Amino acid sequence: MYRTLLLAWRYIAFHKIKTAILICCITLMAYLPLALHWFVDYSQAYLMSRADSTPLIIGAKGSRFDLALHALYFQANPPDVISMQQVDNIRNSNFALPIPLYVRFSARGFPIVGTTLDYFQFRGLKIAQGTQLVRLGDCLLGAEVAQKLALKPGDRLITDPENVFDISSTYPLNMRVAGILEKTLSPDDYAVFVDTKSAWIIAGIGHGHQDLTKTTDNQAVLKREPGNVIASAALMQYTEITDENIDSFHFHGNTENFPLTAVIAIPHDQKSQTLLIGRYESKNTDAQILNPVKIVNELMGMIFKVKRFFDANVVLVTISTLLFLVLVVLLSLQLRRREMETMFKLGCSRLTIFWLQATELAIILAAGFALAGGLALVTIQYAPYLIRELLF
Amino acid sequence: MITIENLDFKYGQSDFDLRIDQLSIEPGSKVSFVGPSGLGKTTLLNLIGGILVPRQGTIKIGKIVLTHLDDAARRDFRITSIGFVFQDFELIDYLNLYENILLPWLINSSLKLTNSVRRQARSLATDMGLGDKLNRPISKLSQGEKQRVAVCRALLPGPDVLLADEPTGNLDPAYKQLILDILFEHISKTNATLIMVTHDHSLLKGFDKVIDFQDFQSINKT
Repeated sequence: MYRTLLLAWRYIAFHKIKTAILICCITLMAYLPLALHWFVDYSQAYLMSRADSTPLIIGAKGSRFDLALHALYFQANPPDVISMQQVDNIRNSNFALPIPLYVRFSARGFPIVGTTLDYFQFRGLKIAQGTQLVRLGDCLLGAEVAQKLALKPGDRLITDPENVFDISSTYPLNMRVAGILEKTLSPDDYAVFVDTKSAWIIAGIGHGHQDLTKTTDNQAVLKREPGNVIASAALMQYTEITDENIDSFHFHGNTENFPLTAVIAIPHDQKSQTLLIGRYESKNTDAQILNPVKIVNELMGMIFKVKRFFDANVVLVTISTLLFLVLVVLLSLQLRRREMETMFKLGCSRLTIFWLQATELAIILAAGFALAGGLALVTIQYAPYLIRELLF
Repeated sequence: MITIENLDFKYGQSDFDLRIDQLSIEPGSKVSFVGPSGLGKTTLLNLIGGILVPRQGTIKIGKIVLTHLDDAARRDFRITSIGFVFQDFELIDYLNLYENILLPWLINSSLKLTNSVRRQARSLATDMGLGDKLNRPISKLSQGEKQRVAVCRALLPGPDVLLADEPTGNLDPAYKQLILDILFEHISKTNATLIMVTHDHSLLKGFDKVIDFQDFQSINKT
């Protein structure tokens, strides 16, 4: 056995390039289906765990998938807005706890999630550094956001303008980082959380500016009337909320009409859930209610249909690789005929020659599969991070 | 003593037919097979080496009747008692010089690879002027060095019969004589029998017996 191994090893080591190519072929042939299968399974579990933990989503009528992706993973374009009235309606119905979401803006590429403190409790989010949201203009950073932007409590983070060419759009808000959340390996790690009121200020619905009744800057005042002062475009609006100017921040209009992009509803019990769903399905309303698990299952169904094409492709690639290997082995046998004949003439049995070649092939196969296994282990180690990075 | 009696050999359905009624070769003798190609010189070497099996007749080497042995026994006999030197050396390119000399031990378990064998291999290589090149790849050896490696490989098991199929065919005149001297020296030391196929008549003077296959064939074909 030792002699056969030695001869096989010498042959393999001598033909390094040929051996390397064969090992690469076998590695890829074994690794790709494994990795693909694992990637899909992990993605499914990852996406589904988020849906599983979210009982109901309410949002504007339109694409169910967009609404689910938006409310669960802060992905997809913001759907049409619904009003804060929906939150009041759900709360007043006593069927569920409503958690408003207003996800329209971003800060250095990360989505800004306007919500209430209930969201943190619902998702089990804990503060790793700093404090909870204390005042208007504060933000909490997901763990990955803090790491990627190298921010810590007390630092500042400016919101991204919606359109840099629109000079009439709202001013970016310079937010104060109140705290950083613990890592949860979820989309929350990749989000910036603010209070809904702060989100509305970013949207321009609320703002703070000089006190027009006290200002001596005549350029800031367009018209003074008894009990009313009309500001000009020169009025200085605050882009940062501080202890000094916080009292000047105010909202125009009724809060119940303020926009939200979604509401997460946490029913008190199964009966409440059924009644709440029934209310939205029967009522002639602009809003829709979704069961996230059903939506994500539908999405995954589509992904699995696509995966079948990949699987078929993998089968074809595997067959062609195997045929390539057979061709290489046959050509190798042809080229080594004289060598084998010499060994036979010297006194080597045909069986030993067969075992010699089988051992060479076995070493190459073992190396290929071992490498594929090693790559699979590395994939399992690092792919969750990679998948989260790709998805969010 | 190598004794061949009533031998008849054919390659499948081909017209080639080698018949030898009687041939004896004394132990320790140096015999050369000469004659044009295609008359069966290499075939007879392969029959004596037990690689080919005749349709009928007997080949006896010493006390062993080769034609009575089965495949495995013939193989074991070949690797222990017959040394082959091939025309194109037939060295294994992925083994180094030293491993090529030890090849018979690497391909047949009836030979036990001991430290004594390893010492003999190194000593033999040194005697042949190859002592400082033991780890050298075959591709880095000259033609003359390759031929000496092939001879070392044939001699190391201490064979009773040395079969050489045109071992000097591709060599310069200086190397031809060197190889012949090495083979003759081994024969004189070990009392082994050397049978060599050659087309080079200038080499024949050192041989005890020269068998011209043309005559030999004509005699046996009539």
